[in-house]
Amino acid sequence: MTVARGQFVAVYGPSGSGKTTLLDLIVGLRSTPDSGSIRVDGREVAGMSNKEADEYRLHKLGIIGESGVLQQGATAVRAAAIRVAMDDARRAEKRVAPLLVSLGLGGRLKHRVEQLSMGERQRVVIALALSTDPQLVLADEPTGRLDSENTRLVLTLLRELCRERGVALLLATHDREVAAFADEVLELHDGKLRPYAADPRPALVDGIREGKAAS
Amino acid sequence: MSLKSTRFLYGAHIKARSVLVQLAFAIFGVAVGVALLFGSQISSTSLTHSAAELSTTQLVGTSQVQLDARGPEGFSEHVLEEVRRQPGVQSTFPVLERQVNVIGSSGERSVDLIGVEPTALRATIPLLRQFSANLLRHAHGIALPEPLSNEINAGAIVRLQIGARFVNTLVGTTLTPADIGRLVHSPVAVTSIDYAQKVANAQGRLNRIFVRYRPADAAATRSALARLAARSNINLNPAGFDAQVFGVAVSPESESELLFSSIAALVGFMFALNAMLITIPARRKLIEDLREQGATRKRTVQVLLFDASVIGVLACVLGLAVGDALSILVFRTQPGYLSFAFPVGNARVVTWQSVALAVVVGMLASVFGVLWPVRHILARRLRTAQRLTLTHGTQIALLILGVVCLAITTAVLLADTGAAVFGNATLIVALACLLPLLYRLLLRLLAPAVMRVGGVAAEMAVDELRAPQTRVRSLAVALLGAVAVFGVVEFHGVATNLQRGLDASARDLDSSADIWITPRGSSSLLGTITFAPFDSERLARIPGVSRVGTYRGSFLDWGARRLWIVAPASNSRSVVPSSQLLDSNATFASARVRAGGWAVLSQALVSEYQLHIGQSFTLPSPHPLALRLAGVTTNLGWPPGAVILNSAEYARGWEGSNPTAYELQTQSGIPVSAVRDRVGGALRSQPGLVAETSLQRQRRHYALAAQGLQRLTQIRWLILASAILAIVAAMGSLVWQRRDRIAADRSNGITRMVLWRALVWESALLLGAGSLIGAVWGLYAQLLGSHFLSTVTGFPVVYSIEGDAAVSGFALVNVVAVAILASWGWIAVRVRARSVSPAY
Repeated sequence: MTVARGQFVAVYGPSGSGKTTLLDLIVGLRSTPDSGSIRVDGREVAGMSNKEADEYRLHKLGIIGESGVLQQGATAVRAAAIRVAMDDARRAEKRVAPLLVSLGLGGRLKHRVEQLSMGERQRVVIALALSTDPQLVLADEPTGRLDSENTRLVLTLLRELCRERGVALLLATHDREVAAFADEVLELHDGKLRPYAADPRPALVDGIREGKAAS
Repeated sequence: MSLKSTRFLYGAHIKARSVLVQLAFAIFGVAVGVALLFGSQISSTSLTHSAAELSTTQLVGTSQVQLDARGPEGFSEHVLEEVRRQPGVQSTFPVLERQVNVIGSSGERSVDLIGVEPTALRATIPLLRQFSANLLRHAHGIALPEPLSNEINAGAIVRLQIGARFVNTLVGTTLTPADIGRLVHSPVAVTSIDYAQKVANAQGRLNRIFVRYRPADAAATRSALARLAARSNINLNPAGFDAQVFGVAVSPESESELLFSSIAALVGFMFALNAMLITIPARRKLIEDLREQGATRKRTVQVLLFDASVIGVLACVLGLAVGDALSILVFRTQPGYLSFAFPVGNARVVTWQSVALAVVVGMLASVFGVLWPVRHILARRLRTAQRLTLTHGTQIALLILGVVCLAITTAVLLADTGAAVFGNATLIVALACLLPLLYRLLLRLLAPAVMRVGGVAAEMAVDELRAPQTRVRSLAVALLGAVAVFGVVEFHGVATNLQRGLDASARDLDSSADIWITPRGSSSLLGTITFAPFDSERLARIPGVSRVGTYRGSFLDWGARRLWIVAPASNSRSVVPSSQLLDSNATFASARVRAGGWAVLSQALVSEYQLHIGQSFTLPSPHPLALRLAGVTTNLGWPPGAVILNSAEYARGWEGSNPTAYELQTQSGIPVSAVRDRVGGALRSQPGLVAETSLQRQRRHYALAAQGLQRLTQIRWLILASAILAIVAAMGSLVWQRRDRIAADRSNGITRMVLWRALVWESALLLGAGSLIGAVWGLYAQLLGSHFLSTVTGFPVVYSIEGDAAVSGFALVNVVAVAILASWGWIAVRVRARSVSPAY
């Protein structure tokens, strides 16, 4: 599998198919894959030292998890700026603010995380992931707790931002509608990746067309 | 819901490792509080029980009354014959007692030498029921308690110092706990009355006669004995009178220990409660899980109470064990000066009341802490968002309550310091109510500077402390730090104020002479051990000596008080310690006492007998003295109180005019130490006497006072140790709850060093803010405790705000706790970066 910069790839598969294992291998949380290798920006992931792994996760990767990872008590801009602050504490918030504005949170920068809605928090999580200009962003069910409207909003923003910034996005999901947002869908079956045979995107597009026709 | 169902639900809940860990922290935190409370209670009850053992259970036996000498020289044996002739008297048990020094090969101890009639041994005196009557009847020797014998390495022969004389004596036997029970820890030596009279040079003298009479003749016998006592100038008291007198003697110390053990108990309760509050998130989750699964409110409370019971029982068991161990390790001292007048030991006494109190407090804290979040959660609908901050109304209510409690404390301080325990309780309540506001203000004040200095790690810490989700836990830890430092600062300050007061009293009393000649040994420090007089003219001729005065002193029972009689020579530099006078004129008092016919009394006596300056009273000395009140003092460090009169007056009132010390004034311009050395040379023929300078004597007094205050110091260290343990448990719990977030931060590339520094900053800010508030509160509490000691117990106290105590208490708690937490945090941040999936 190759994910190019600016490309959005979804890994689709039911629970227990190995989606999280795949992402953990890419993050470097597990030692080595059973076979094959994982390279990010030409660098082998397995076998990194602790210091190299920290550096890799900070500058090469971004992870979109649940909103609980955000620093409690912090403002939206500060919560999103924590990764940047590792290198440049003085200008971290200034650097991250435009990203938050592009995510539609311009009027919420100084609100505390606990004052934001679920959808807004998830957008802060996206900003956090993108804040250090990573080359690859990983997301595991990033919209699992959102309603359909917020899901559509978050995924659309995510796709546009990754394209604009040339960031590769790899998203794991068991939801076909979420997978439909990707440029390419791969299926994980019995530990093996293959192009998704029943590509959900045409059905979804048809569904949208039908919906539009009905309205 | 049945107990089985409750257990099932609870068992399912605690299967999760995170819940088990939280449970462990809660148990540990509550146990620390229980240990502190239990340990301090043992300290305060052991003292009062120890001397009661001697008289009431051992010497007294079945006697109903005792005839008791008023002075240390005792009374004639002829009185015994008269007592035996009284109608209704069935048996009599005469006793001779003397304060002596027992000197072994590796130490010496001041003991109460008790001489009893061998024929009475097998009768009704439990003390010697198992003792060999033959041994005592025929052997000229003494029996020593085993611990004492081991302590001084007694061997077969010991030296007895009586006054200034030495006598070698056989140790006939050592007494074990099987012989005399807990009395084995008391400083006594037992012998036959004949031998005691011989070694004490008190042939034909007795100190007491215990009397058993026929109950049917009680009235007539008592009346006859009362008449006999009156004409012989001796006291007729109940047989168990010593316990009563001792009770009065330790009353001030008991009251002060009650105050301080109560404070320790309050502090212990707060520690226990905070441990529960910190684990609230786990309990909230339990409640919500139960309700989501369909449990009714009643069933939810049942499960929670089961949770409280598990925590409470396990914590109490652990706490009692730790508290018991601490009391053995920490509270091992003798009560110092009290042993000069009472044969009181250092037995450790554990009462069921101490155990019950500790258990009740531990369970209360567990139940209250468990049910704390329940009211709000059960009151609202299941999915309603939980309010994480206090409502405006609640904040106002807390502010008002805090201010009211502060006002009550101030009222207690100004109007009625006898209610110091209550005052401390309201002060702690005020602390708890006002802490949230003060903590928020402090954080707002400190945050900018901290963030500037600490960078991103400090920012993370400050954000964490501001988060509403962690507000209750943060406040609980801050309160823990505040209460801990409050306790430490109060105890340190009060102990220091009391020490200074006692030192001032000692300094004033001892500086009435430049050189003191007294019998060797610690028991002569209060000037109550007589010795055979020698030519004071010879002393006056020693180069450098300008004046010699005869000092006399003893103990005298007046009512239920065993008073310290202080009788300096009229020509002493000072006869009345001016620093100890209360509302009295020092010049007037001194002049009157020098002239004779006047005396100075302690405040407690003046209050008890409702005297005023100039009023006449009769001192119940062996030859009663009619005196007038010249001044009022503190208790000079002797809890029951003291009487100061001049030495010549004393000689009139007591049989025998033997000195208990010589006071020497030196000529100016000549080093006192040089004169002391010359005096020491002149005493070579009297090896039982020692010459020391006023400064040397003061230092011995200071050491004695410090020993008397040791329990206070020990309770302070106990609180400090408990505080650090409680804080470590609380912060450990917080850090444990943070592990998931730490793992997530690691996944985001936040380095271990940054995360560790954030934890350290958070601990330092939390504890620092809480400790600072607690230190201020502790300084206020010092005033409360010091005033209590002064007005209620009569101890001399120097009022001052001990800022050192605040600084050292603050520094100790923070430095040690943060250091331990830094180590713990270093381990915590080594957690692996978290899986991308929140499910893992």
